[in-house]
Amino acid sequence: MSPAPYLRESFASPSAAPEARSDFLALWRNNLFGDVKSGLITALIAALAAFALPPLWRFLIADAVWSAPDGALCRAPGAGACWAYIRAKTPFFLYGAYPREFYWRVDLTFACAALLIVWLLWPGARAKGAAAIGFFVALPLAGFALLHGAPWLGLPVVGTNLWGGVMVSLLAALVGIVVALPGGVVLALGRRSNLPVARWLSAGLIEFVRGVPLIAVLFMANTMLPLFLPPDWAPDRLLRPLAGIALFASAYMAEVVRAGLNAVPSGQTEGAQALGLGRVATLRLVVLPQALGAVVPGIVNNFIALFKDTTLVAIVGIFDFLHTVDTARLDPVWAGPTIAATGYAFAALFYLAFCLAMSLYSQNVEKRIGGGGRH
Amino acid sequence: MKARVKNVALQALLLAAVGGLLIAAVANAGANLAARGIPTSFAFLDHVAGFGINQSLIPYSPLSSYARALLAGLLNTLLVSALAALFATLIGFAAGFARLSGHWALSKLAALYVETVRNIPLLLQLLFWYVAILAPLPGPADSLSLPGVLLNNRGLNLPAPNFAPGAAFVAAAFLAGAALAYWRRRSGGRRSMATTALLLFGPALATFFVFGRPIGLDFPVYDAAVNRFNVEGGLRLPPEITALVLALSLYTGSYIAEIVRAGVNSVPRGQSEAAAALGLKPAQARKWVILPQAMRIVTPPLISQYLALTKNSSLAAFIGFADLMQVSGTILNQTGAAVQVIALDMVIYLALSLATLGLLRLYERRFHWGAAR
Repeated sequence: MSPAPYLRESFASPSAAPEARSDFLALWRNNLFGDVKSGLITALIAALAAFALPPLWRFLIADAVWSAPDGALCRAPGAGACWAYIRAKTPFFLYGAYPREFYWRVDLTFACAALLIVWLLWPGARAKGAAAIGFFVALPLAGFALLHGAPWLGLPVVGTNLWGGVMVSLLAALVGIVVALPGGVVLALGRRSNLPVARWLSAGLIEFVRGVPLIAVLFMANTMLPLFLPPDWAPDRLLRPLAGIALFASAYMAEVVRAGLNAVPSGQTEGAQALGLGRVATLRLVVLPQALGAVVPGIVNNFIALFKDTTLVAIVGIFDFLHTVDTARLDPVWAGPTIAATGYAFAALFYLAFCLAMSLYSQNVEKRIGGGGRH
Repeated sequence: MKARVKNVALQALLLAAVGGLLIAAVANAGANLAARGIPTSFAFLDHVAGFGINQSLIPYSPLSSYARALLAGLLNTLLVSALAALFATLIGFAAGFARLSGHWALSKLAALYVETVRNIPLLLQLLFWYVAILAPLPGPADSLSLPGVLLNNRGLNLPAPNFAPGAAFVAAAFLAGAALAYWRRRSGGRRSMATTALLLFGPALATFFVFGRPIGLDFPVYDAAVNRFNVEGGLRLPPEITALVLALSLYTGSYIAEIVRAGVNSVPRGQSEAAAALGLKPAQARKWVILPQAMRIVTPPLISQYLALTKNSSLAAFIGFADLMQVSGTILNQTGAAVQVIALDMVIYLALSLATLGLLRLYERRFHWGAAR
């Protein structure tokens, strides 16, 4: 019986063994200059770096003006970034027009907030319940008393028209998150409820807010809140956009929480009921801890987006950090050709540092959740 | 039975609470509006707007009505969103694949772009492009120039097609050719690239020359003798549109890059290994095996990015570009008719959202249907 015509009769000679790749340098050479295409790409990127990096270095570091009494040095031709201007304006960028002798009130408020946030987010920290009560109940009350003032405590009132800078940005983000976490949980539970009315109302609100730009929500909060409230309430000019931000953040948070709720297997609820837990106890002790734990990265990402979005409050005339930077460049003492770019570079570094830190944390948690025996 | 009574009671309570709030709000609004003499109907839409719009796709003058101003704003929103969506897709796919590439420097460059741009507020980027880059550019006489493109502080000047009589025939011929090529590809048979190309471009090219080349390119030129103050000819994108499209497409592009990366990573490794085992080259494997599977995962979040981009285009209000939001803000300040103007905006944006969501559902249905086939 002769073999089928398509079968080989002899072995093909083996192809050459692949090049040894133990050498570190050879590995790099192979990656960057392995063939014509990757060599070309490497050359292009090197050219791009050579083209872009020296001017950037000159502008930001080498030719930059590090200290000067006013803008004269920065206006000189060939001068780079005017860091002296940033140094001179730092109090304004941080606190707006908040009275200098009361800076400690702002510092204290945000130090407390930072402490509570670290406590809440620290893996394995104890008594998180107390931290949560501190963050969601005590902090807003104490923060209001400190920032706005409480004459009966001996703290003079500082009107919100004087607030500005990083302080307002952080405040907006904090208010957003303090309202959005409980608000988002309520809306998400409402959307999954078996009561049709609760379901429609929650879904309607969520989709309505998510369907329009934040600027529209801010316009709405700014102009319609005073219309819909009794005339003598007259909500504060900072309170209105904050209410808009809180509403906006809650709607987005609700969708994150809903994803978490969907991820909890129904066996958990059934098991809790079999143990005799009521509806509220099941939610509080079994479902919500698992649901929220599963979406911590989502919540942090949401917070990053919220922090970036707080820049939009400038549209209704609030002086957040970016708005102070954008206003300060018009100061005739400093105004010059490099001032705008300097201010924006500084603001970009600030937001970049803040958001990158948050996103590193969220990636870290994601890894921990992923590796935590779930799979 | 008891549970049902409780449910009904709970819902009635909820409805009563929300209804009560609404009624109180409406009552307050009625009193407040009357006290301030603010219009309470939509009749003001027919009144003369009285303000100018620097860039409009439809004929518009300060004598036009508020309704027409809103329409011009909406068209501007759609124009900027469409342009930015196009560039964001190109940038996003390029950066996404670059980040996945085995080439160390290329993937790090893409990662640098994505991580930087995603973590800086869009408004800051927009102001940076508009105030720090485009505004200090030289005037028209000293424009920065690439072949056919002039950039100065009056905007970006691009070559534009111009149409002589007969252009319509060329367009019709092209459409006919495209239909023919499509029909041929659908109806099976031998599908050679050359035939398709011939069918696609042949009729249009023939008509083009028969009618004496009715379509040409109009290049922007600066000539002090013709116009000392600006570039003539071509298509001029004002700095507002240039900055907006630049910022929006770079920002959204970084999100799309991550979506693409996640989509490609979600295709099991075995797929590319199997493709390699079948003898497909890496580029072929990408085109025929990886991308078709990745696109199913990429498309839904991609569409929501387009939606987010459209909503983000409302940042135009910060640089004085007359998009829907900016026009609305002006009308709101002039008439005080906050409720009506904002209600209109919300309806328009919700309609855009719903249209996009509808598209998404259609895609999902088609995908499921396609998978079952």
